[in-house]
Amino acid sequence: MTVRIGLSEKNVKYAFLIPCMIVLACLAIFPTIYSLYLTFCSWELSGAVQLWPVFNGGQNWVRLVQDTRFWSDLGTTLVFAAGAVSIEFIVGLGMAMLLNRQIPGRGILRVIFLIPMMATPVVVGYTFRMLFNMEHGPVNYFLSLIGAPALNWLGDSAVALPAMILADAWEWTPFMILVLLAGLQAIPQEPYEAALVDGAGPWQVFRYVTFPMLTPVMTVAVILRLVETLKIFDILYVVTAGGPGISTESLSLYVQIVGLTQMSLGYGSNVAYGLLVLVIIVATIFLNRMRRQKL
Amino acid sequence: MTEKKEMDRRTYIKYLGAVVAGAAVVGVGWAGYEATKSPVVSPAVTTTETVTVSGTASPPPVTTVAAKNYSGITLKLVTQTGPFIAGPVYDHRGAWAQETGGTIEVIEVPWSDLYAKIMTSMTTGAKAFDILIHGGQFIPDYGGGGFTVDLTDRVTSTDPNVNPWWSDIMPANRSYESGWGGKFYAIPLDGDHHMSYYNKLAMENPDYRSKFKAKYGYDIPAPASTKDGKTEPLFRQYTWEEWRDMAEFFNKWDWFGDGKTHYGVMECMSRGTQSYWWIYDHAAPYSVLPGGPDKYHWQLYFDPETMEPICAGNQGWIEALKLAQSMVPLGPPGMLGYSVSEVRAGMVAGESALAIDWPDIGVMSVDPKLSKIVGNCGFGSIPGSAKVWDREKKDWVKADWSTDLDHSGAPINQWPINNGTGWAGHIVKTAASVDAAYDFLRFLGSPAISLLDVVRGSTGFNPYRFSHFAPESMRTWLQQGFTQNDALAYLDEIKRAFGKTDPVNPKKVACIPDLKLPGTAAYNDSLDLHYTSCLAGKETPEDCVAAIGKEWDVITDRFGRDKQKAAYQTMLSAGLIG
Repeated sequence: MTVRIGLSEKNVKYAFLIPCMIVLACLAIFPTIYSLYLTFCSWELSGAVQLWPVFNGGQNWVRLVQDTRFWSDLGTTLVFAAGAVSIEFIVGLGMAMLLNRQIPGRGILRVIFLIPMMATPVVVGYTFRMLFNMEHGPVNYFLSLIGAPALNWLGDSAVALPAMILADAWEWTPFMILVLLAGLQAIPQEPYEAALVDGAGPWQVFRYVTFPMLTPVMTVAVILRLVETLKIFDILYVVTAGGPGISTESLSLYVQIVGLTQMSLGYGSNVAYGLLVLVIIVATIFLNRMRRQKL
Repeated sequence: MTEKKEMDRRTYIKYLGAVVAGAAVVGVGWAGYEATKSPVVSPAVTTTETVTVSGTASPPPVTTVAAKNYSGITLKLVTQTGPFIAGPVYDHRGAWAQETGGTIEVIEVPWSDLYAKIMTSMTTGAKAFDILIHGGQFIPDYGGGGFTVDLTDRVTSTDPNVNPWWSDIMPANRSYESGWGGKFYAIPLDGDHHMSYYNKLAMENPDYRSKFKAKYGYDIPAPASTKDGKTEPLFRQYTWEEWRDMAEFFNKWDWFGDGKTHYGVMECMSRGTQSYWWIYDHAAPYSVLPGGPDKYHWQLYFDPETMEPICAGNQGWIEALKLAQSMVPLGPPGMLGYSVSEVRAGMVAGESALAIDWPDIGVMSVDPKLSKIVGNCGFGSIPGSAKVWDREKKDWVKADWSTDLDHSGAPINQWPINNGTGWAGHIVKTAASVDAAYDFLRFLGSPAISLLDVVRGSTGFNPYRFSHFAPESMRTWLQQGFTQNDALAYLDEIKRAFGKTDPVNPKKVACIPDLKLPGTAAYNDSLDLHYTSCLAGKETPEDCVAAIGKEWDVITDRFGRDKQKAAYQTMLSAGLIG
């Protein structure tokens, strides 16, 4: 028996798209629109004060603009992202160029370099919490061997953020190595040969051949890591919980504190949207740059 | 040439089926093994054992659980990640299951996420949990919010098979851990307050004592000896200034005699790790006057008439913060990053001469698997102050109402605080079976079972029943490694904290309730943030109290000042006796 469905051939494709659209609407579109609506609502679950959102106009946005902690966390997030991605990029590029050469043990080195990236951020966090322990941690022990004073890595606000940047760089530099190495291996040999024939030195080869040809890959890698580090939460949550004070508190951590510790879901959505705007701005700047350079 | 063999679909499905079936058999076998090995702490105590307790309040003879049938009922219990708190649930759920046929499924969540997980589950109607073992401080949100069951009729029932040995629980624990607005919403499982600890090897050494006297001009306030059979008094009250002197004297030298550097004091100072409960220890003696409760008396948090934060511009709080800041260099170099775990581990490892903590260090100190100071841990109240800021007079006053004296003979103002309120069992209204859930909590908190838990350092539960202090229970304390004198000293301090009445108003307990309002988490987050900033030297004490005051006002307005005022007055009324 043949079942006939009353759809023209033209409309069948839309019927096939419906399940996908429903999933997308439920998982992406509705939460985005609903959380935008929440930015205009007060919703305090603590003490069951408001079990449902109550529209309060633009009060939350006014509060966000006046919230000095939000702006401080925004600065911390930007410093963290810039610091971590810079280190990851510089070290990653150096390591990728090294691994692109015919050196002994290259295969095993590639695998070893990827291990930090495979570890979960919570494990990395606890590892660094031990490494940076002021009395018993190996970092201060090695510093003492060269006569350097012990640093209070996690308790001193001057060094806590750099310590967290180092932890993130340790975990994610392998990602840069992986992506940049793939880019390096995709560059054809002919431009190198031509440069060598023209008498170019190693620096000139890097500056005028490798760097321009690797730029598209580098841009993508940097964008991906920037977007990720702007949303940093896990390592900071595990190692410092944002302390001392708010010196390592990122915007994501603040979203969690407002939304899930204080159960203030309305204002928590505003902070989350503040973070979203930041990520969009940074990503747009890079993408426009890519477009202008026709990368 | 090697021929490449490809597996056909039928063979692939056959192998896959065999692997899945094998995995299922292994999984079922493993689950069965796990189900049979649920540990019971002491085979000597069974669910049908009759236990007679004769504490101060002479609780009646009780049986731990009546025969009930809850076969087929599975209850999802959420609590803090073990071993603390979750550990005792694992230990005893097997015995309860054996007796009733019910099943307890434990869901462990880290402390920092516990409140959020519970609240999101209850407010969204997710029915993720049936039983909550969490602090009594959240009762305004749980019971007050209408999410958990009102247990008033059950806990006050005269039926011995229903009543959870209610009169055996100390009044402060009953009121603070389970009470809200004249009703009871939870069964207390723990007694929470902070106490002080000192290393006897440091404090009782005659040589150190004479050197201390030569340097500071007075004797170390800790007793000269607690090993001579004395039981009363076991310690003299000390002030925060005396505490600081002791910490300074014993800091950064080998008073322990193991060739390593040892330190003066340990406190929890890291953000996100409950450090806000330590600021209350510092602030209360400098800022709380006896009497009341009214606008100027017995107030640590808010003015009950206006809900203005007490700390804002309060010279007592500022003095307390200055002293707390001065403690930072008197502990291990990384103390600003210390959580509760590090304080406990460090103190029982003999690294510090002094520490402030819940009663957990006491039981940990006698466990040879955890402790290097077995038999050498002394116990006392949190320190006090010889001067108190009077908000009404806007001046410092002497604590003339107190009989405790410092080294100069000045009376000391000291307040026990119900830091953390204590772990309690709450039942969600949507529980699979409220009767079964109540029966399990009643079993877990029964005098016999709870005694087994409070004497162990790995449970996180501390004494809260009169029977825990009764002479009949002493054998259990001694079996854990306490000497009789140490057990008495330890229990005496806890009893003193919960049993002490206000020196001016004897109709009120002295123990200050923990902050217990809608939005407690928001108030504590603000406190935590600025206190840890102040300790790290990023904020001055003056800026710290100003910032906390400003943020607390904003939070109060957000929740509604009048509503918060009513809730605060409800919180304070729990301290009234009778």
